[in-house]
Amino acid sequence: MPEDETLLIRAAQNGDLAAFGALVERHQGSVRACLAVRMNHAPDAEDLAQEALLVAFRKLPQIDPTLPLGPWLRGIALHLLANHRRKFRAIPIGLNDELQALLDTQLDADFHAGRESEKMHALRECLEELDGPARELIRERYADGASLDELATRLGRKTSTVSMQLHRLRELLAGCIGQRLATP
Amino acid sequence: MTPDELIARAADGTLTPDEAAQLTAACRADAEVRRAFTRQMATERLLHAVGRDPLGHTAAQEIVLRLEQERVAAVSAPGFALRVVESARRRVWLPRFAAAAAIALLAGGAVFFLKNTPPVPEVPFAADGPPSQRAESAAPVAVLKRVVGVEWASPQDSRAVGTMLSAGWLRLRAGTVQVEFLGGARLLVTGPADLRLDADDAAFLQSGKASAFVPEPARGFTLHTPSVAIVDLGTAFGVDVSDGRAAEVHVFHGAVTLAPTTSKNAPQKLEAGQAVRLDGVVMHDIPVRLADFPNGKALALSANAAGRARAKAWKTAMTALAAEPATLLSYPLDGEVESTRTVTNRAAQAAAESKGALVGAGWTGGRWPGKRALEFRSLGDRLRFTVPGSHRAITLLTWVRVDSLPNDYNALLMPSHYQAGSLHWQIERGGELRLTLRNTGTQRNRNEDWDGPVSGPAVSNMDFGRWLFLATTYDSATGDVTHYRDGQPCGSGRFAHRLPAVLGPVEVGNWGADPANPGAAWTRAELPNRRTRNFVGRMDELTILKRAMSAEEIALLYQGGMP
Repeated sequence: MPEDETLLIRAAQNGDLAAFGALVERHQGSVRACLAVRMNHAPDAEDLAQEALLVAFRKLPQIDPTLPLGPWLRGIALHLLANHRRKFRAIPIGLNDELQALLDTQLDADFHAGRESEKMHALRECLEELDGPARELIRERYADGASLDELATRLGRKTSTVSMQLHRLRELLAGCIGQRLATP
Repeated sequence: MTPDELIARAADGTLTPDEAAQLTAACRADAEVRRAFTRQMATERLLHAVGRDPLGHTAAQEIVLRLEQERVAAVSAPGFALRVVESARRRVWLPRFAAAAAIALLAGGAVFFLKNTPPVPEVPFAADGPPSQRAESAAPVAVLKRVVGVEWASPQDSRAVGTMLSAGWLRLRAGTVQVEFLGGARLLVTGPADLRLDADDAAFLQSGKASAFVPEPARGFTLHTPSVAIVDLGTAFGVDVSDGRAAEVHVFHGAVTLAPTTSKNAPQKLEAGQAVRLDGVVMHDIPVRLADFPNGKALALSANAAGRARAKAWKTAMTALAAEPATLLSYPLDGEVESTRTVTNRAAQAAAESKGALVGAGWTGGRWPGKRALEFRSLGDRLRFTVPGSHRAITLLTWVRVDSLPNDYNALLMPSHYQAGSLHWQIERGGELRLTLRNTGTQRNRNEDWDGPVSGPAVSNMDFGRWLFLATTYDSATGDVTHYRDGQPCGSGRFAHRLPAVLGPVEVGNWGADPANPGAAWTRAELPNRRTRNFVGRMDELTILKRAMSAEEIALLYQGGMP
């Protein structure tokens, strides 16, 4: 834990919003990644991440400023996620509760140690290694929010072909992420 | 359907219940399928998260803003406001010499005071000077931080986001601006409004609605209105001066002192949760209303939404421009990641050597949230690339944020290899955009070896820190050179020799001619203050065309690319 963090936490505990801003700058990536991986709808994950940081600010006076902030924030995020699931009962994948439960369980097992933000970081690097057309496809799909049909029309391909193309790219990226995290 | 196809459909969000049942069974039967499914879903979700925030910077600022807003809201919550709801009590401006006596009178009825002639609201400062020239030269008192949906009162009143503002009027017909005073206070003003900036801690709101947020270090910020001056004591407050009618002052947080504009009356203190309406000399208590005043969070959100819409329109325009056969180079600087060191030329006709190599310069934020830009800071920072060929005409376009002009010449685009037709595109210390063209290949560096300079005023120190669109065109058929600043011509002239323009290997943001090139030998003998030419600031778009664009085209590009 960076040595100035205790100072920042102390200042934020006394209501210093700028200090809290600096802490948010540092930790928001892991809070966001932790929720993004577990939620189907990206905007919901962002809202919940913001909520988690606001809750953290309110609860901040209760914590020991010498302990690392990361795990505590993650705890708040996961707690809010559990509440959110109870309250809003998201539509399960393929309307199949069993499949959804299976995914949630496996994700919790894969990400138990809080490696989401490392993966997110690795993903950003891996994206850079993609060649032009692949990167463009990813950009259109995920940054511009193009639908599969729109992409299919633009590329003059079948929707199912584009779907499998994206599937292969995700597989490639997942492999790249795995390699990056494996090498020290 | 194969497990892979099922997984792909799950990630796409198109999995049907039947397919979901198949996939569930496959996951149960085969741990590898289950792992592949999880891996794909996690990657899909991370991609969405990254896509929505390519820089990984989703605003800590926004959270802080929200917390600030909550603090303000907390003090104006209904429970708090109830204490001042519509009491029949009136406060009256008290003549200073008779304050004590007046309190006694007040108990009996304040009507007498109304017979005192209400002071005619008068503007407490002399009329201001001519607007624009003065704004360019006078010392800045504030920064125009945000502009949302603004319709300016006239074209002369229009200001770009990020502009430094000196003393003078801001007049808007509609929309909201956020002005940050150098003294620390932040003012949000919603039009129709006339606001005059007087100093780094004072302004005059002649009409309109404003909210002020004044942090502790900026205490003492004063907002004048025709009837009252509000002196801030570290706080958040709202003011409504509609059509010069009665003013309303609402205090959301902290406290303010209200001083009547005419000198007869004693100041009054107003605390958080209190609001008053000023009718001539009488103050009525009214319930405090937070929702009626411009608010930072909402402004930030709509500014972001507007930014996203502009970014989208800009992308379309850039794609069209890149597709044009005359486009030699198109660096939209968008979508690159932190570690990118090679910039891709997106022009349809891109030459292989026109990939840009970054030296020193790093990535930073551009015109919109999520947009990238190159940052030039150190003496060595530069971007190198080669544009082959010699061209009958040329257009150089760039969006830059100049942070300072430390050198006599500050390089935008410079050759690293000299020959007849080589161009120097620079900004002079005084802010003139300047183009010169090498007309001979001699080793001397006399004035007659160069065509030009053609220059025009493009950057004032009031523009430091804001995004600026600079463009220069050259047509060898006529020799005409025209410079543009923010889509408007700002200087023109003519090169005598009418040579075609040559780029070849060039550097952006710096100057370090290759000493092995005989044509560049003279550069080593350049005076020290002329030898260092590094650009200090950001660049978030660079386009080069082998034709001279028209003034209309450049104005359109500016309109479509404004932050």
